[in-house]
Amino acid sequence: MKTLLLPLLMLASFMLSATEVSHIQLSKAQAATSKLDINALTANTNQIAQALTDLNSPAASIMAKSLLLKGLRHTEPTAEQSAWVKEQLGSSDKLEIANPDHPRQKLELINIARQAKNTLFQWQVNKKSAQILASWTIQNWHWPEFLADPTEVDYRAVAQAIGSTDRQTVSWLQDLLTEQALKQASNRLLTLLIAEQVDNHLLNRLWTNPTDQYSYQMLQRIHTLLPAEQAIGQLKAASQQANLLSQSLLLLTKNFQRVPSAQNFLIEKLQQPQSSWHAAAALSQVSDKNLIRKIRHLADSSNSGAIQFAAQQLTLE
Amino acid sequence: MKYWLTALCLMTLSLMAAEFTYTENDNSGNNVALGYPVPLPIDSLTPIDGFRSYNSLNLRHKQLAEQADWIIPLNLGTTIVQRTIWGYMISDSDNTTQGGALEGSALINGGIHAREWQSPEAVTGYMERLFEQQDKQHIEQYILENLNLVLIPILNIDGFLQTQRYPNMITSTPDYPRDGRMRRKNMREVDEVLSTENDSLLGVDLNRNNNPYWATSPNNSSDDNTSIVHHGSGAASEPETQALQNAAVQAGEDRLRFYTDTHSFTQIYFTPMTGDQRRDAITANLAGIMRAANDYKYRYGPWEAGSGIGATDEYFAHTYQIPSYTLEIEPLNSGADYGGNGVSHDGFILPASEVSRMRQETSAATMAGLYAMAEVPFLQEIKILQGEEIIFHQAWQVSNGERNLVVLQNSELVADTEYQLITIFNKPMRQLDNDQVSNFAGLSTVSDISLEWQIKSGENQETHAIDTSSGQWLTNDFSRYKTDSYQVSFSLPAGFDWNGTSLLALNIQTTDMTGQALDTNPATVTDWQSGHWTNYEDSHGELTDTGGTDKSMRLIDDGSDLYPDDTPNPVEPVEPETPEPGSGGGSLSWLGLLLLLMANRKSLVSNA
Repeated sequence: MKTLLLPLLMLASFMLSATEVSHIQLSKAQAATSKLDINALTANTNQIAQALTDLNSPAASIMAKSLLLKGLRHTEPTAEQSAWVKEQLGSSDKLEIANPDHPRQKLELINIARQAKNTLFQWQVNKKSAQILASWTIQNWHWPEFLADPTEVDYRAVAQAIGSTDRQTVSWLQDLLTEQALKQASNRLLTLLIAEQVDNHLLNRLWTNPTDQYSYQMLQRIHTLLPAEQAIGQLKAASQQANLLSQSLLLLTKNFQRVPSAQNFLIEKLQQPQSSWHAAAALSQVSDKNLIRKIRHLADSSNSGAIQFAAQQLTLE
Repeated sequence: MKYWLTALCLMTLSLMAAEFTYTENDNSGNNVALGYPVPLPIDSLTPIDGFRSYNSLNLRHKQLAEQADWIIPLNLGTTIVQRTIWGYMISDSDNTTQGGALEGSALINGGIHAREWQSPEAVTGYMERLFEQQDKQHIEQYILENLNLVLIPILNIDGFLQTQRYPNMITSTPDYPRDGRMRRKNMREVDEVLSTENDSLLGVDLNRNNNPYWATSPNNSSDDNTSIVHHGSGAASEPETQALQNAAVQAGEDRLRFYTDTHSFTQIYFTPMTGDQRRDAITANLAGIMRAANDYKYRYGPWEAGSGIGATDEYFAHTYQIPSYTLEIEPLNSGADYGGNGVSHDGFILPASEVSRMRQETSAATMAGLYAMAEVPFLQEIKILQGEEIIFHQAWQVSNGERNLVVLQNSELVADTEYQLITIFNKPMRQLDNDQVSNFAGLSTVSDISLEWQIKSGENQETHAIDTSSGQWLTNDFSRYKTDSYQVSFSLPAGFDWNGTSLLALNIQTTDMTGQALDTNPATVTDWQSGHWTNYEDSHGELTDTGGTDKSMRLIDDGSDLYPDDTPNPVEPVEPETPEPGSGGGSLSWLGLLLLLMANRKSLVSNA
C-alpha cells in the first residue's frame, strides 16, 4: 500500500493547482525558466512535459507553461500545438503571491487555463485577420456588413489587419467607410482607421458621435498626428461636443497657447457662459505673456467669476 | 581606455531596468497585451470614460472650490518633492445640523497607492456628485448641510505622477511589475527616470507607515526599502502620512465619525475591529449599508482586533474609535472580469470604459455611508391639517443643547373628522429613483412606516392604528429635503373627546433610508462620542445604537414617563473588555464577540 501511496502523493503534489510563492521563489522560478528554449519547445510540444518535469519546481513549471502559451500565439498552430493548448484549458494551475494590499488575499500572477483561452482566441483573430487581408487584396470589402454585428474577434482581426496593411489600403478603407457607412461607424472603428492615417471626414464623425473612451483617447493625441493649425482646427471642432469641451480647451492651452488662433478661441470661450469656467481653469495655468496680458485686460473690465478666477491664478503664479 | 569604456558600458547596462509595455493586443517582444485599450491620462476637467491626468484632477478640484463657497481647499502639507497635498472641506458654513445637533465630521482619503487610479477618480466623483446635487434637496444636500466632510483626492501625488508619466510602461517583470504604471509606493529616494534600475524598487508604502501597528507584522510590512511593503523609518515618517493625520485635525478630531481609505482592487470593504463592541457593530452595519447601495457586489472583510499591518484604517479605527475602512474598488479578480486577457496585475488597470460606472457606484455607496453617519433619524415635527388649514403644529426645537417640544398651533381635534397628518423628520428618509420614492436594497421600503394614536381617557388607554395604505413620502411640499415628510389622512375614533383626554400621543415606527430606526427621545440630542452614538434611545429608553418606536410626540401630555415602569431606565451599556494590542484576545467574552462578528460577517456576505 505504502509503495503505491508514495508515488501517488508525489504525483498529486506535482499535478499543480494554485501555487503561492514568495518573492524569492518567484525570482528563482524566473531564473529557471529563462534558461528554457521556448521557441524549440513550442515547435515540438512533445518535449514540453519532460522540460517541465526537469524544472523540478511547481512555480517554474507554471511560469514555463505561461511563456509557452504566449509564444504560441504568434504561430499558425499545428494539430499537436492546438491539442496541447486545448488540454491546458482544463488546467487549474495558478501562480499566486500574497496581495500587498491585504495579506490575507492572494494576487493571481498566472492563470494557465485563462492563458490557454487567450491563445485560442488569438488564433481565431489571426485566422480572421488573414481572411480580411485577403479580401482587401482583391478590394472586396463591405463596411455595412462588418458593422452589422461585429464580435470582439471581428474588431481585433480588423485592427490587426489595419496595422499590417499599407497606407494605400488604409486610404481605400477610409474612403469606402465614408461612402458606405460613415453614420454607422463606431468610435472604435473610426479611431482604428484614424490612428493609422488621419482622415478629416472620420475625425468630424468622431467628434459628433456620442462620446466614449475612444473619442477621449483620440482627442488626447490629436496634436501628435497633425500639424499645429490642423490640430487646432480639430480641437475647435471637438469643443462643439459638450463632453469634449473641457478636454479641447485644456489641450489648446497645453499644446498651442502661443498660437494666435488658439489664443483667440480660448479668450472667446472664456467669455461664453457655457464654457467660461472650463476655459478659466485651462487658462489659469498658461505661461505665454501675450495670452496673460489678454486675460488680465479682460479681467479689468469684467466681473465674471470665471474670468476673475483665471486672472487671480495667473497673478498668483 | 578601451577597457574602461567597455566596463562603463557594462555597468550602464546593468543599471538599466528591464522595461515592458502594456498594449491592447500586441504580445510580441516585451509587450504585454491587456485585451482592452490601455488607459492613458486624459486632460479633461469634466468626468470622462477614462482616467484624468493629475493636473486635470487638481484643476477640477480648484474649479469646483472656486464655484462653491462650501468647498474650502485645505493645504495639508507637501510631498517629498514639495508638491502641495490638498484636502477639501465640504460643508455649509454653520456647525449645526438641521436637527440642532453639532455636526460630525468625516474623512475620505484617495490615491495613497500610486497605481490605483480608480481611487482619485472615485474620490473626485464624490466631490462632483455633491457639487451637481447641491441644491437638489435630497441626500447630497443633506450631507452638505449636516456633516463636515474632508476629502483628499490624491495623497501620494509624486507616485501618482510617476505612474502617469509612464502610463503603459513597467519595470521588473510582467508577472510582478514594480515601477512606472505599477508604482505603489511614494517616491522617497526615487528619481523620475524609469530606466534607472537602482531606485525603481525604492519608496515607502504609505499604507504601512501608521501606528498603532507600525512594523509589527514582519510578514506583511518590511524594513527593506526595496520591499513593496516597506514601512519607512518610523511611524508617520512620511510627509504624506503626516498630511493625512493633519486632515483629521482640520476635520475636527473630536467630531470625527467616519474614515475611508480608497484603494483598488478586489472589490471589498476591509475594516479593522478594535474590540469596542458598539463601535465594531456599528462598523459592520455601516459596511452593510454601503454595500447595499450596489446590491452587495462589494464584499466585506473585517480584521479581528489585536493585530495589524500599519495601515491607515487601523490608525483611524484605534485613534478615534470610529468606523474606518479600506475600500478596495473593483475589479473583483482582474481585467478578465471585463473581457480582458487577465494578465498579472491588470486589476490595477480598470478599462476606461468602466470608469464612469465605477464612479457612480462608489459615489452611491459613499453617499449612503455619509448619510447614515451624519445623524440618526428622529421625528422633528408634526402638522395636522383640516383641508388646507394647519390646525395643529408641534416641533422639537433646540435650546442650550436640549430639545423642547414646542406647540406652534394648537386647535382641538374632534372625532370622526378627516385630517391630514404630516410627520416631518430631520433628514430625507427614502431613496429616490428618477424622482420616484423607492426601496433601498432591502434596508428601507416605501411602505415601511407604522403610525398609531395612543389615547388615554381616565383609566382607559387605547391605541388606534392609522391606515398608511394611502400615505406617501413627499417629493413636493416637503419640509427641507425630499422625503423628509410623510403625509397620511386619519380620523380619531368615535367618542374621542379632546377635553376628556389626558394623553394623546403619536406612536411612530419607521427607519431612515439606510434602515436606522428613530431616536425615541428627541429631547436629548444625539451625538457620536467614543465609538458609539450617545442619547440614541431605543423603544425602552435604553441607550443603544439601534433606535426604536418614538412615542414622544404628545399632543396632549399627562406628564407620564415616556418609558413606562416596566421598561428599564436609560443605562449606559457596559463596555466590553478591550484586549491589549497584540494580545490576540483570550477571554471568553472576547471570543464571544469574535464569534458574533464572524456570524454577522457571514450573514452579510451571504447577502452578496
